[in-house]
Amino acid sequence: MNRQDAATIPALVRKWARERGSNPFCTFYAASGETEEVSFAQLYGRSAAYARQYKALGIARGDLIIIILAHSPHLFYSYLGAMLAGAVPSFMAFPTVKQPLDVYWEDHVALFERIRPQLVVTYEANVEAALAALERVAVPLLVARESILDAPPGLPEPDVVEAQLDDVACLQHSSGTTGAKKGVMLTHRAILDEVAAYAEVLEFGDGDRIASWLPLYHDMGFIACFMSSVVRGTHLIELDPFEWVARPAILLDAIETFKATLCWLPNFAFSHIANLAPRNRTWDLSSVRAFINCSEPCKADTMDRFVDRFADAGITSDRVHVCYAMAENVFGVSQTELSRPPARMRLERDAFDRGVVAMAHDPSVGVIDIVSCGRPLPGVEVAVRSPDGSEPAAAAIGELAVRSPFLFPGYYRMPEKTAQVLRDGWYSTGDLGFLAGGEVYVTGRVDDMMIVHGRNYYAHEIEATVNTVSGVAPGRCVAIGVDDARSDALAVVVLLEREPDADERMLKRNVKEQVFERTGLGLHSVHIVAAGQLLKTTSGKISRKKNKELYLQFAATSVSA
Amino acid sequence: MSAFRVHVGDVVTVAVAKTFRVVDSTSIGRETSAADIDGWDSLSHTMLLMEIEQGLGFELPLDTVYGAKNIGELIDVICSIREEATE
Repeated sequence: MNRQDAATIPALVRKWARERGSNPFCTFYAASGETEEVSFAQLYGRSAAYARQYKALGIARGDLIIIILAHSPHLFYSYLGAMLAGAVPSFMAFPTVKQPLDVYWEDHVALFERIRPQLVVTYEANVEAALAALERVAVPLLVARESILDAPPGLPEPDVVEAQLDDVACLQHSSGTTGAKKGVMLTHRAILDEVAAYAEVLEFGDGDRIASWLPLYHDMGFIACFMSSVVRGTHLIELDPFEWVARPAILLDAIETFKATLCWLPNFAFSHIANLAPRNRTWDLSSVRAFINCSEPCKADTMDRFVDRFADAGITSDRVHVCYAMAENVFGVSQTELSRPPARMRLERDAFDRGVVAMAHDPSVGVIDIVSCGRPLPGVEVAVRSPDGSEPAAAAIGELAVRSPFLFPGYYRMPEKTAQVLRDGWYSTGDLGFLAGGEVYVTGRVDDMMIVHGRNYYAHEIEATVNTVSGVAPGRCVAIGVDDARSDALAVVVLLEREPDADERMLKRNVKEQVFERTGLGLHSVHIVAAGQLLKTTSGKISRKKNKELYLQFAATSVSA
Repeated sequence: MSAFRVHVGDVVTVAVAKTFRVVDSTSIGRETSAADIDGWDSLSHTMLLMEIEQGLGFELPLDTVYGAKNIGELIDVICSIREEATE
């Protein structure tokens, strides 16, 4: 394994500043085509300036620093500065333009009471709302300003706190409802070992360049793009996620301009680019060794459409790949081989729905195509477990469990949550799937988690929020995920029963707004059904499965009507 | 009301109806917001803006049109962009 021996992440930041000082670490690429380049020397110098600032504020080794910043180079400086100061940084999503700031910050109070950060770094527009909330948990605030980067005279060079390989380097916080976020603890050793193992499979070399529009509070943007580039000393092309959503083709512009070689995308992003890239433009994407589909269920159709759409740009089916990843394993668990297109299996639909893997030989039966997520990375083991924890019969779908040299030691200050999922060195992923030919196939979830645009949401958390909205009959709502053919993403729909005097239009509007404010999820739609119409399980709970079937029947009827 | 404002209103209404498959476009008014229409999220908002740009024949600056709270505000923002450009 080609790990950077005995180094820690801050040690590597210094090493690249010495050895590759004038090389570009990151180019920020704007929709206008303007660029801002940060060299490795600048990356170290500016991160060290943050480290000095932290030390001046009394930050000590092991202290937790939460970083809530919009797209800017300060994301990198504030984060690596924390590591240089021996602190433990964690990125969190910043409020969107439509999220009320006071609600956003209030929602963080319960989380901060539990995780007790020593500092929050954010931008100017947040200050008023943040201070009002943070005062109650006595957490100080640092505003990310250009002036931090000017070395103040009289202060010594930062005394670099030499981290140890097994120190917790950072926390990765899960998405979903703010108060319930879990902080995955990652050590320097784990990050370095994961990057090394993944690099081996990808044959990641000095000539590689990653292009990314992914936010850094998501493991794919954070580990696969940012950390990989820091650890390997390579060039990262970084786009503003907000600009990318609005102008998805700018990713192709950036790839073409900088001859990027690797690009990770969630499944919906393949569709978003293919649907909205201007038809009258062409690109040369021949530099790309792999577009890697990850973080959402990967769909064969989506990948085929992407290849068809960009065939004239040099994209072939052996350049669109799949990765299975999770923050609990730093990032990568398995990856398809870059030398050939990902394997696929065509299964009988009926058997699949019963949890049985049966190859479809008869073209007249309903089928489902499942794309392989490839072989486990070197050192990583994947096992399939029955609900009782035993090995299931061959060709059966079960819960995927992972054991690896870089598995996380636990969730920060959540011993009970950790004990639920981490047993005897194995992590129970909550993902359903099977193994075939040594490759991992992911088919769904054990629990009620739904992945929308690469982010995880739990149906029970959405329902809890809906239940707080005035006019919803107590306990009479259900959140379900359905495929949205137009966007090729999962759409979350809420069905609810209302109080007799509630105004339907205002109720729908309030439910959508509350769910968005509390979770960041834009609901596809809210449907009000007659009192008593929501179906229950045999134990008397509102059934997500039965009500989903009811909704799908209703939707099919409405379309055909 | 200027002819341009009427035109922008028409383009936005048609684009909303087309993007979100709203059968009865008379239900779309200035007060209509994303919360009132099924399937209107951040990604489909992009599709809507592209539809509007196509209808108007010019690009919209992203930093302004994403903050609009409802269709009325969106129309106002688009009109002010054009007015600033022609001043």
